[in-house]
Amino acid sequence: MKKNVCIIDYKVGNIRSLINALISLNVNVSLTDDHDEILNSDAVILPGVGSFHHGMSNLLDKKLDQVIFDFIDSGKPVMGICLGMQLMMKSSEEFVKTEGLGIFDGHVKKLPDDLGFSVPHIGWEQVNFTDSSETYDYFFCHSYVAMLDNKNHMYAECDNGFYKFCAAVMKENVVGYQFHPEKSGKYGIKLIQSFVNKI
Amino acid sequence: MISRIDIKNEHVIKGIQFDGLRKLGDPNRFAKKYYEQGIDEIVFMDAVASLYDRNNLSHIIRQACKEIFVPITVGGGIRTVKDIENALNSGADKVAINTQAIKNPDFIRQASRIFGSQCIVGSIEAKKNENGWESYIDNGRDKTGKNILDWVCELQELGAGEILLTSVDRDGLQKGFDTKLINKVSSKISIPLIISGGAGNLTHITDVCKEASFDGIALGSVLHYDKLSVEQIKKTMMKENIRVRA
Repeated sequence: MKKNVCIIDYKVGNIRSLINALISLNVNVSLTDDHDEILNSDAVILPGVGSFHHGMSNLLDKKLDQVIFDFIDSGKPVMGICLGMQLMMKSSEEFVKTEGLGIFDGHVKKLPDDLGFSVPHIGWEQVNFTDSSETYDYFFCHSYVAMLDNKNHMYAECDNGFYKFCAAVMKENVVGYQFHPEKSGKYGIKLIQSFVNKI
Repeated sequence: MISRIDIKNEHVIKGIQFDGLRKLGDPNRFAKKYYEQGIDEIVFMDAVASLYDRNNLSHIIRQACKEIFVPITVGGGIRTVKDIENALNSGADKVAINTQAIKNPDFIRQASRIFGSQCIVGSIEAKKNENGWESYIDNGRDKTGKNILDWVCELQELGAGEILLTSVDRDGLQKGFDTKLINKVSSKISIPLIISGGAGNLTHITDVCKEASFDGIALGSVLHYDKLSVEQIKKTMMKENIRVRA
């Protein structure tokens, strides 16, 4: 039987490529904000592009925060992408200080724009994972980064010669990517594949 | 490394200096091939859209993003906020705007406010004149009177997140890039610069990488006519210590 992956629908950004990537991996995909449907699925993805404050208030309006916590407690795989990963931090200083989901001990701050690379930071960067010596490039598109207080949850780092920042986080059944695996060619698709394999 | 796919009436086309267009085939077939070879981004350009006031690449983009998992840019005939919305909803990540930016520069400001500068590409068609380079619209057909070096600054100021610089003089000739133009432009801006127009062989590509400063290179003819493959170019670039995604 095909596995069911839920993408949480909280009205942020273009998720067409993510849906297509999952379909290409032969899973059922639903884009939904329905609490029961999310809780009954096999894996959940929190996507997102846009502002932290806007994203967080959309989650809270739909009472999706508790649904995400309950799903995480079930032990099933959860993935955050870009803003979705940042929302898993304790707080952000984007525009106004906003509390996040607090799944990871960390906060979100703006990328410094005086270090020689332009912000928003868009493009391919080499990423070093803590559990692998192989490095590949992944596609980033962001203006903010997560700063972890608990470095044990650092899953990957990126050092582009100008700035070293957190590229992925991991804690038990939750993984978060700052870059877009669904836009990162075959190595990005591999990450989504290994997420699906955990189901 | 970006593959630039110019499209007219559903066909990949390629001309010389934007003229004498030849039909080459189905855009999605080309795009898929380049993706499988390891291309980093795909630009679909509706070559005659601005002449006929339309952009009908939506179904091509919809199909492309089912099988292509790298960023996709759409250009040609983007005139309104609605056009951008359509392109993004079809699965594009960025839109490239030339003609409408020239006609109404404030459109770039408006578009980057609404969609974020990360998805607004200022597209420039440059032709040499006696005072430097002039910006052209409608696929290299019409002069605008705008000096390229002033215009790129203005585009950056207005909120464009990236510049796609096409040398009309070099387009399709496969005789090498306009290194002078590229260096002049890159010294003016801090946003990423993508260069287009002129690649004909491996040396052209490695030469421009060594002699000019830019962030990405868009290739048309050399790939479309199977003169070079993406793998082959990347391999050569790596051998020459030019930073490229493996």
